[in-house]
Amino acid sequence: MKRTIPLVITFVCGVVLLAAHFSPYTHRWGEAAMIWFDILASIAFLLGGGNLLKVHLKKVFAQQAGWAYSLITVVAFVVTLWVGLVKWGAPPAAHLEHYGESFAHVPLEEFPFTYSVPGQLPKTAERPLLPASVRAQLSQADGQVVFRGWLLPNQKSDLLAYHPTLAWRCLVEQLAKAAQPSAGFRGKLAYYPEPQALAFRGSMTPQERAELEALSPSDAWRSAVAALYEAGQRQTEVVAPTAPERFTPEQARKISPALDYDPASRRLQIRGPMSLSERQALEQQFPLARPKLTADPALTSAHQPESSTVPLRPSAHQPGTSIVQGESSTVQLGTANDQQRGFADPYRHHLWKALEDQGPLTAKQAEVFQAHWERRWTVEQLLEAIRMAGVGEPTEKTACQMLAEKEQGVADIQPIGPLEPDQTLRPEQAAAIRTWAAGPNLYLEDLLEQLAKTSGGQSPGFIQTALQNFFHQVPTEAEAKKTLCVELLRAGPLTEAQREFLLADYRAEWAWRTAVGELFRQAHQVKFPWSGQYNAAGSPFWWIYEYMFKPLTATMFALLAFYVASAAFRAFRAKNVEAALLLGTAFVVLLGRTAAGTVLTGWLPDWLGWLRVEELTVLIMTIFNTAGTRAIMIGIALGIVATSLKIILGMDRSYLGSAEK
Amino acid sequence: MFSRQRGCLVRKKSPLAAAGEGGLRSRSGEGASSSFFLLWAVWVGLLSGIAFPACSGAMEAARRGADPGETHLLLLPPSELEALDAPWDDGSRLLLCWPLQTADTPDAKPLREFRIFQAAEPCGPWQPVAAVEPKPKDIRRGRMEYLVDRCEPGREYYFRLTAVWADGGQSTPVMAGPVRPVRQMFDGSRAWLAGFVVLVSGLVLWSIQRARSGRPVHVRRIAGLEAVDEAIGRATEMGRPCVFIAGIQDMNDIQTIAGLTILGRVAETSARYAARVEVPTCRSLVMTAARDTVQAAYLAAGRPEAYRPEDIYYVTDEQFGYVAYVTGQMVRQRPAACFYMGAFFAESLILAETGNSIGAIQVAGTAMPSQLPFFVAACDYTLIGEEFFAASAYLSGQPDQLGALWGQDMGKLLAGCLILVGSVLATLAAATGWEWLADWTHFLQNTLLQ
Amino acid sequence: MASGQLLVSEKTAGKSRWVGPALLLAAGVYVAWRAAVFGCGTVYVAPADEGPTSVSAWEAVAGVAQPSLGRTIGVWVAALLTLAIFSFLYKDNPLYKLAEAVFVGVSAGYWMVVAFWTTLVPNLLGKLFPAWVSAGLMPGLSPEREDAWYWYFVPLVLGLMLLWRLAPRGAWIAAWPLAFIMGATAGVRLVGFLQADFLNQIGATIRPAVVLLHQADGQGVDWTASLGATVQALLLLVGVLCCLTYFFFSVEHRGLVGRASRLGVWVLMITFGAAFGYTVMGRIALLAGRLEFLLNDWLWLIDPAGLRPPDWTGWW
Repeated sequence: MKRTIPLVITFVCGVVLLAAHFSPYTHRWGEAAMIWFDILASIAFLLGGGNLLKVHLKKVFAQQAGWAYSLITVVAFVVTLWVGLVKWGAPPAAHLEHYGESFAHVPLEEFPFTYSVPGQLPKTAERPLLPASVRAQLSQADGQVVFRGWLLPNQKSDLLAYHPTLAWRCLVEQLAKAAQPSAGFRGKLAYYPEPQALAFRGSMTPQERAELEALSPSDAWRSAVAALYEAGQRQTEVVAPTAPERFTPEQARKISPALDYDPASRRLQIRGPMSLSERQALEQQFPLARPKLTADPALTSAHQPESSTVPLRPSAHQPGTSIVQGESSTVQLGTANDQQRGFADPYRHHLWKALEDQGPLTAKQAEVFQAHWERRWTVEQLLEAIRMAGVGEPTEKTACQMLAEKEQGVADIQPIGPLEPDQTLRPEQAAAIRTWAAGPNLYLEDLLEQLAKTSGGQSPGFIQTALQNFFHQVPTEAEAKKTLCVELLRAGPLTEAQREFLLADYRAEWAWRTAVGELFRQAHQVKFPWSGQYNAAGSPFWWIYEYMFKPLTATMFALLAFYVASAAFRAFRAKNVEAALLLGTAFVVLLGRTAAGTVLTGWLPDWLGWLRVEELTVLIMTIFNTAGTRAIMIGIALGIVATSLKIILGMDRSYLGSAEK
Repeated sequence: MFSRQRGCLVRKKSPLAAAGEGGLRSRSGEGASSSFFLLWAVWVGLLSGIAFPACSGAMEAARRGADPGETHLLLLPPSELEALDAPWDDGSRLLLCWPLQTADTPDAKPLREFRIFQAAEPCGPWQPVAAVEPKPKDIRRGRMEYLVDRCEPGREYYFRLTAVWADGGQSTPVMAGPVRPVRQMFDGSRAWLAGFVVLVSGLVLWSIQRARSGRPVHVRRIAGLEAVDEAIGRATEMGRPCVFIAGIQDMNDIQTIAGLTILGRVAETSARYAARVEVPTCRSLVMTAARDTVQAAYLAAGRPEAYRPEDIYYVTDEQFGYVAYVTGQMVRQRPAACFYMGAFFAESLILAETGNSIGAIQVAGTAMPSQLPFFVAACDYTLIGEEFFAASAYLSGQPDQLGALWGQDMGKLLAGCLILVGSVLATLAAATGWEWLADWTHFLQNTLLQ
Repeated sequence: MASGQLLVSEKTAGKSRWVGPALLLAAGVYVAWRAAVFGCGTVYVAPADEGPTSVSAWEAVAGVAQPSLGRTIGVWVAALLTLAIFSFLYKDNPLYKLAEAVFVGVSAGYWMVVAFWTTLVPNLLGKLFPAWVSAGLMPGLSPEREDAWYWYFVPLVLGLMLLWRLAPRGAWIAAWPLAFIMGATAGVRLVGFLQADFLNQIGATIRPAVVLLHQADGQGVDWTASLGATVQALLLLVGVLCCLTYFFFSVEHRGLVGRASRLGVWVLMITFGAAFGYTVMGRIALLAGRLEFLLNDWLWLIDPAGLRPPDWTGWW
């Protein structure tokens, strides 16, 4: 019995999985079996790990030869296992943390709001279950589809993909429209069904609290609202060693009412959590990199005064002070002489001059400077980006629109509506952009204000979007100067003064961004402390992998270079036809993959071209190598068939521990 | 291949020479008769003699006929479209058919392509599926078919077909539907595969049965396997252990299972010779199975008390960590014989070279084509591919095990015949340009052998 | 090689007894000097949301990055472990034994952790108890159970049976999960290999034995190219058949079969030689990778990617 049952199990599993391959109902059973095998192999690790510890600890306790190495093995094993299993030092997963939102637990069954739309849940034999993301929240009652909660975008996508008919898709669109928080809380309030959490973005005001509490008398709801309110009142502050030149308390409140800044103590404060958009807005308080201006007589004569000043940053940056406009470090801007010398871009010229004033520069560095400037963005590129953004796109009809067409009897419904009209930049808007680009310090905010003035209130949406997208990829002027510093250092030396001139602003920007990041992290409410990756960068497990596991593996692999050489040397000594064939072929193929081999036989005439070593390599690989490999593979397949049959039939049963004669 | 000097076995031949004889090369036989070569040359010459002169014109004609290109025939707009569930499939395919009618009327125009659209409802919205052009054989048949895949079983589909003419105009669309793809019990696309499974398995099973019934089975010698006993004997004389490495893959690899079966035989021989065999494993499950195998082998040899479970132990799952440990142990303990039987990757050369450097006799067997060259170059004996799977049968000597080898040979004969027949068909098809020959060759390659 | 190592022999070992230690000492002094003067092997980090992140030395020049003690020690540990492994080519030594011990312990622990977090948690616990797993261990998982989730009790029970072999009694039950594994493997692999390695290979070998190629301008036959292509096709066909002949077990390799088998062996030798030659460059590239780590990341002797200021890199 003890031996029979395993044989029966082997036979049944083998035959079933063999037959399962041929039926569409069961052809995935093989994959499932392999997943089950992986699970068994993972559980079997307990046996292997236990054996490892037993063998080495026995050696340690018995003080056998080499016991110290066994102790090292045990310690390395236990430490690696521990730090990996508990995910020591792994930060929470960013995509699950919902930055900027506070969470409060509300069980789904106690969520007070449900929304109904007339209709039926589709029933298909092939998909008996609703999508997992909505299964717990969606139900059918009295001819209505009922949803408990507020529909999230991913849930809407899952429902739209669930059934293809227009009636269903229109129902989903209606449900998505209905199942949302009230208008005042759209974008601020959300309910996440998986952690069963009510979420509020930012800091809740007392008025908002009162409004929310009035929405439902449920205790769970009210205590959740109270918890969200408390979480949103938590004050967090950091001291920023430097601040952007134009950053004021008003600027901070403009970004978010929960933000505050005290210039005297340089304290940056926030009430409640900081969202990613708030963080981004805080970090983007520095002037953008200047463009490469092309020669434009109208521009240079009309907009450049005979003599004006461009403020440059002080070369010695005093710690503890914010960046302010330099009062004494000014340089004369371009005059007619500059134009004669061909400097159409005065800032570029004066940046170069400022560098030259602080130390010598080599000819190679001059070339590097030129090349750096050539890579800067141009106003023409910006205008082109805006033009492209204004091109009309086709509109997509909603499912309800198409359903309405269907009910009207339209026989050939098209999913795409008419093209939106093209939007173009007006000449005065283009001129405003050019003027801004030629100015001393480029703040995107200023450009948007200028454009709004030319548009009589607010700049058109497509221009705002195009500008945001374009300048998202443009560095700040400080970053550009730092890049220039690195490139100049690669081409030659720089004096300390030159380095300081190019890097001071970058350091100040970096310090500000670090402070903002610190505030962001401190103000964040951690939702899932254990959601991070077990091998997150910076964790001890990552360190062990990066600095022990990977180098050891790669080095053992690299030993093959030596072993291949020794194997080849041994083959030289063989004296039969087979060895000569093996060695000769290896030699030809090896040469064929090197430049030396190509040179050695490159002199052969075309009619003997097939003897060139690279051609010979191709012939060997496509003919002989293919023939041999195919035959080996055919034989292997037959061997596996025979072995598998012997296993299934119980002819090979050594794993059972049975005596076989 | 080995002689006794100073009381121990000393290898006489260099590894490749011995490998050539032992693992690879059988005894060279008598020369084939010159008549065979004459026959062979005549066959090749005939083939070339027929093919070369005939090809020039025939291929030209075939090329012209086979050129799909832009048809110059005038076709009528499609009058109907039929949508059916594709038979014997997994419910992901639907078959569309429509007639092709040539005519010489004003309605008929030169065709550029047919466009197929699908929708979930008869009114749309329509999504493009494919643009297809008819082949000459479709026009001859008067009918065209298209297989729509990636459908969802049980869901309703509607299809629409439009002809796009060479001048850019389009015909009035024709519709078909609703049609639902249905999952059948058997996947027809795998019918031939099922047939081959039954055929090849049947050959093996029949040959096993034949051997069991008492018919003698003769198998040629494989010197590598004959050297196993001698290697273990050498280890006994030198008082050194043997090392058996069953590959670095887990129990879900047939090579590992085959390796463990050979381990059983090696362990039984070692038990009889009172030699110690050490089995460091790379997987926990392999350690478990190997312990059972070796214990059973010692029991079968009548020496259960000599079994030492601590000789079979787990090292680590990482291939290079494993080989670092094993090579270190080999250099320190200096085993007299090393057996590498299973699935290996890049570490095969490290193992084999280390074994070589300590003067151990090495027998390797694997079905990894990429590692065979290294074993051949560095080991004394190498079992290549199928020989490795045959090893357990050889070592057991049991008639039904050896009978399975005969079945494998029948499988190779089948493969050779299929290759020959297919090549002849393909050659004649290319030479003559006859469509039915090309169809048969296409059927053989793309249906039967898929 | 009686000593069992690649590069040393007993004859020369005695005479060069002092050369090795002297070279090692000189190398050690040089490395110490590089470390003290240049700070070679230092890794710089800058703060980020997920913790300090490695940045190039240029950020340190810019003054925004700090040297990381942990990662710098890591580079030195990696370098020393690399040299320890390479020392095995000379001979077995305590340094190699240390590296080997660390490797075994670390790698065994690593794969166990990976198996736990990538297989056991999502594929077993996550299927059986998804709500519990998504609440704590793996929040990204859906708390809803899938269709037919109860089947995952089978591998759980089989796994527990496997562990039963540690029990004093009833260890025979551990054979059941092994039986399942063997049967499942046999059933799955049989069909897979028959299709991919048998039928597909035969299908790929079926090609016209005689090939006619046309001139580039489409006019007439290119007889030279056609002859070459035909010879190639015939060689491939004959090569496969002869190699298959070699693998016949039940026929003595004599006479016609013997000749074909001999030819098959030659084709196999060419196959193995080609595979051998093909991998050599790859192996050299692996060695080059390690050397680059030692010379670039550790000792700062070279800087191919320009990650450091030029005056930080050099041989002295």
